Amino acid sequence: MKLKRDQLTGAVLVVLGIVVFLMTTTFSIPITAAYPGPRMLPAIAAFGFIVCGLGIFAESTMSKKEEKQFLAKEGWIRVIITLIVIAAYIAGMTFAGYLIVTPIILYVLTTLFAKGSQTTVKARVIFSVAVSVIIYVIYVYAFGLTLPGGMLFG
Amino acid sequence: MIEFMPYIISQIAQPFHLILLFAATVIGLVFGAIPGLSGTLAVMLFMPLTYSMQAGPAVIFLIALWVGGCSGSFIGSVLLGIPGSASSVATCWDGYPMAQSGKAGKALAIGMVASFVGTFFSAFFAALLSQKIADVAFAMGPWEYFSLCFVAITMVLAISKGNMFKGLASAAIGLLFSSVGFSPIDAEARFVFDNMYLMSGLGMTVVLIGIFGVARIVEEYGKGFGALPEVDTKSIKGLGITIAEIAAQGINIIRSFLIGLGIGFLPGMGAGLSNLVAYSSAKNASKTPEQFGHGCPDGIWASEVSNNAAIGGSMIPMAALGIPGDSTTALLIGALTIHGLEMGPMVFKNSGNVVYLMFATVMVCAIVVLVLQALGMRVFPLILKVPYHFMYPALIIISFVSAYVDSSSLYKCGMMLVFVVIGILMSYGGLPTAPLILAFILGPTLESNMLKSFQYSGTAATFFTRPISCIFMVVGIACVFSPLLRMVVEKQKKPKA
Repeated sequence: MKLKRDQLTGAVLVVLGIVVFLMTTTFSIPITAAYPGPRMLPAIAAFGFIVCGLGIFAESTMSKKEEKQFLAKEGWIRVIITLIVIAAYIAGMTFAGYLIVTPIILYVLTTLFAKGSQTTVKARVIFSVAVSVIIYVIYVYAFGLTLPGGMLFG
Repeated sequence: MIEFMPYIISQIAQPFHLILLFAATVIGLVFGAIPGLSGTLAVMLFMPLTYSMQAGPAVIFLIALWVGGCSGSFIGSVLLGIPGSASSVATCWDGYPMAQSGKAGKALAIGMVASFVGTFFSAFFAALLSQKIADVAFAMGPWEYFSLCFVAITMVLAISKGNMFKGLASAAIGLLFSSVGFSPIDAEARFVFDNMYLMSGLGMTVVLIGIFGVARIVEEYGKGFGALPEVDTKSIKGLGITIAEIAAQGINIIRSFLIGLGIGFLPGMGAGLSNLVAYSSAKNASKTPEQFGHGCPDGIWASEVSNNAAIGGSMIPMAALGIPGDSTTALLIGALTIHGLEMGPMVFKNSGNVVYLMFATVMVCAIVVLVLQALGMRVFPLILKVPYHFMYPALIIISFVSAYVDSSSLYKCGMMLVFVVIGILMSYGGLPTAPLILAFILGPTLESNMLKSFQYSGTAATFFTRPISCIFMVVGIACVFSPLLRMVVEKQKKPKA
């Protein structure tokens, strides 16, 4: 039998609830009737996860409705590629700083996102450089904030 | 209130502050107009820009983003039939058919004037009423504050469509996130895993932009962008609205205004609900209800006056009690805390000038929005033609820059990426985001007031023995079970039909 999406969500929430509850038992101040202490809020969250998880699981099991697909396989691939590009952006900023990495990542993202639509390389390059510079000028010069300089240049 | 006028004028009249106000209003309008973006997202993304500002300009900037976002949402509703945000859902029902019948200019003009009326006068009432409610709030103790926070979170569950368990699970995630770091009062380290970045808790910017902003963009890309919408700009000719037409809507405007103000005032509710209630009230009161849904001006007036009146309505509990009326005011409370403005009854004594600056900014923004929309009537529809492949990458970059600016650390960018993944997984599981936002922001207030209550009285019974607290608790508990009750009632009705 194929597991439904909501069944999976419910099961994950129950497991998460149990893990969170077990973690709250390591806190030094116990829950008492007179003073609930720091355990109470996470314990409420854990209780919420378990109850809601069971509820979502049960509802989904009893429901005969067909679930709509969340994303097609190609969609998941697009999502994962975007997350990898963002991770590369963060890593790149760590080493080379904002000004070098941002135009490159912006170009990569606009190229990825533009697949199937009509844009030129020139337009994407101009856009990537212009947006990077505008953000830099606004944050650094207009508002006096700092942006990553990078380990190589710092 | 009058004694703060010199301060308010000196703040708003400064050239740099005026530039901020105009820029933020335009940004807000753009975010409000584009379906999928919203004023809330604009406040989230640009909040870190205010970190280096004084309280005055920060308030002007954030409020202008918010008002612009609320006021711009009808543009998408009228021209595309897709609401810019939940606050303009009902505007679609008559705005789009009116635009389709060649009266786009008139539909936009009604939206503009209605937005102005709702925003301007609700802020005026908020300025008049907030101090009085704050005076009453002095009689409230931690029991009442705890139960108010409880109601604010549970009310979102009560009105959230679909699965009650999913709404509750989302609120539980928000509570869990808010409990990371040192606990209030006892200073116990929770879920920090010896990581110094987690000691002070999860940053609002990182969590909310990650889940609410970037995750949605990545998900949209995963689903594949559709073709850019066709926007009809040919039928926009002049304002097409007269004073007599506005006067003829007098009763509809007043009724919708009061609905918006009242719903905005209720914790956890907001423009998303008020436009629907005002629309159905206008339809019920109309002599020609059959015209609704076919381009009836009354429907646009009702929806747009009420959703903008919710701005002032939600500012009252925000300023007087420190309790948000909706997710945007929840964000604003967090953002203003960074500037040393702890919302609640004491704020009128400690920073009354800044609070009244807030109300004044809303009123000035209402005028600016009206002028900008009237002048840019032909330009604003072009906002809806900005290609996704340019807009979304720019927003992703701004999001991560915001995360960095939050604490000048790239670690926060990494953390945001984690929350992007969490946001996508939440969406996969069908968990709504609004309960998470409210629970995450209200979590610390909820917990500290709960612990204080127990320290003072040593028992949970006090929540039910104090009258105001008891009422809130009962309402909150009823809200938790209301979707269940609704389901039971609907099931009982079905066999009879």
